[in-house]
Amino acid sequence: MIRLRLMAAPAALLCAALAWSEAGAQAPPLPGGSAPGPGQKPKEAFVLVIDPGHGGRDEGSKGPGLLEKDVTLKAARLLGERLKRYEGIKVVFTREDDKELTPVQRAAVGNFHAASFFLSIQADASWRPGARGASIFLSAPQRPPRVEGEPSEAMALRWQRGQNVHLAGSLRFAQDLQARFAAIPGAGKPPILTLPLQNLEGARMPAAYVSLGVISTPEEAARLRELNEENPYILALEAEIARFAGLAKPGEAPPAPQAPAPASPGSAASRPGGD
Amino acid sequence: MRRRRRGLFWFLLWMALGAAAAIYFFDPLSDLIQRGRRAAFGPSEPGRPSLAPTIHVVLFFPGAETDLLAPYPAEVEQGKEPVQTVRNVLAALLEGPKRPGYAPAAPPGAKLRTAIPGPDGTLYVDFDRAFRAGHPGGAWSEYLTAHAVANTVVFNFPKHFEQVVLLVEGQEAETIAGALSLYEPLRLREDLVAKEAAQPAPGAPKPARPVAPPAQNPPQAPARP
Repeated sequence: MIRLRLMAAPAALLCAALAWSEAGAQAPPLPGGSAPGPGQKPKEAFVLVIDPGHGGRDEGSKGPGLLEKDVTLKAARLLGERLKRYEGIKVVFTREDDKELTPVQRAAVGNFHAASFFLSIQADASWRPGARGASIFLSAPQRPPRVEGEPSEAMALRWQRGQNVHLAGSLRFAQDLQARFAAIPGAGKPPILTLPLQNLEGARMPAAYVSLGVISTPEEAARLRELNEENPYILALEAEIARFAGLAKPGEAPPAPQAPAPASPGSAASRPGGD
Repeated sequence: MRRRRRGLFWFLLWMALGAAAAIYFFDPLSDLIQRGRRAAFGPSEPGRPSLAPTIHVVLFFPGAETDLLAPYPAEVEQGKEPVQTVRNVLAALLEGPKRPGYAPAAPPGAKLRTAIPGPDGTLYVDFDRAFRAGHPGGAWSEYLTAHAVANTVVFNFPKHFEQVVLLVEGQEAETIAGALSLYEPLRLREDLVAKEAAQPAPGAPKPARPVAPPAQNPPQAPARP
């Protein structure tokens, strides 16, 4: 019964998010948010904004001999290099060096470039010694206070709540990425969690916050230290972004369009396989 | 001579009673004594004799084996006002768990500066900078820390407080360690509490009441199961 309630709550919230998101798609076009209409020139490229977490004085979480800001920058560079080989993908970084940015500045990069997707790369940390595994986070849908009217319109009125109307796209990406991460040997199925996240709330395009592991756990830190361009998590991210952009790997046929995945409780809030 | 002695006896007795009453009812002095007692003996734990009236409360710590919060029955000194008791409860939360099966809710050394009641059942909880500086980071860890505080306050004082706003050094905390957005006040989140997590210590008091359903919230994040 308790488990059912635990699973039902996220499912209900994600369904609500989907409903609001779909409703938002019918609202007037938003900067960087909606698809081009009839007669408009379609976008020439799928613009991906990669946001390596932290930077500068903000070192992020710490592992044994490892800082989160360095891990996220390295992973972002590796992923960016792989994705630059696709003709239809334009990669933009929020930072390419050890620079400090506010969360709002990060989302603003995505909005300025009218990005097709915003990917925040992070690592997790915990006081719990056994914590391990990747996680996928989405921005929690939140109703802005003191704004009346239809929920989708009300939510779109606040610039810093722009993510609210793109949650359906974000969830589809997250569910597919979850399956790709789960297929990595020994990785387990990562959870998809929704939280109020600073750098995603204002992103007016589908967005996800992907934690590649728990840096405070020594074994995980060792794994994160060894990131390279053949790392299975980097490859999974590359494959999912290519699918989301409707592109194939260089030399392969483009993927068939997929139907929107339903928000099932199991996939939306499953437990980390490693825990 | 005998009458004078008896008069002196009664005078001294009334003086002693008056002094005891002043110590008991005069807040600053009482607080000073309580602080001294806490410094000497630490906070009350189940089974430890306490000089001040105590109440049974439930603190919420992250579970050592789970990604959720685990209820932790404890006994704290009761203040004259609810907000004084809340401060004692939060001080116990910051001190961390004394039994296995739980992880800390806040960085070691983090201190409560004050807790101030606001309108609409809001409690503003002000921590020192160590609350932020010593946090390990990570979106989910931040989320559990924030809701360890909010759940502990709202669960134990539902008649007084419905939501919690976190402050650091007297300013609204936009985040704890950079990932979590604390734009919205925090409410009780029953779904973040593990039902089969850590077991209470033998002889510890049971929670005063079952966990109440969450208040009417704007849509919030689903729980990490």
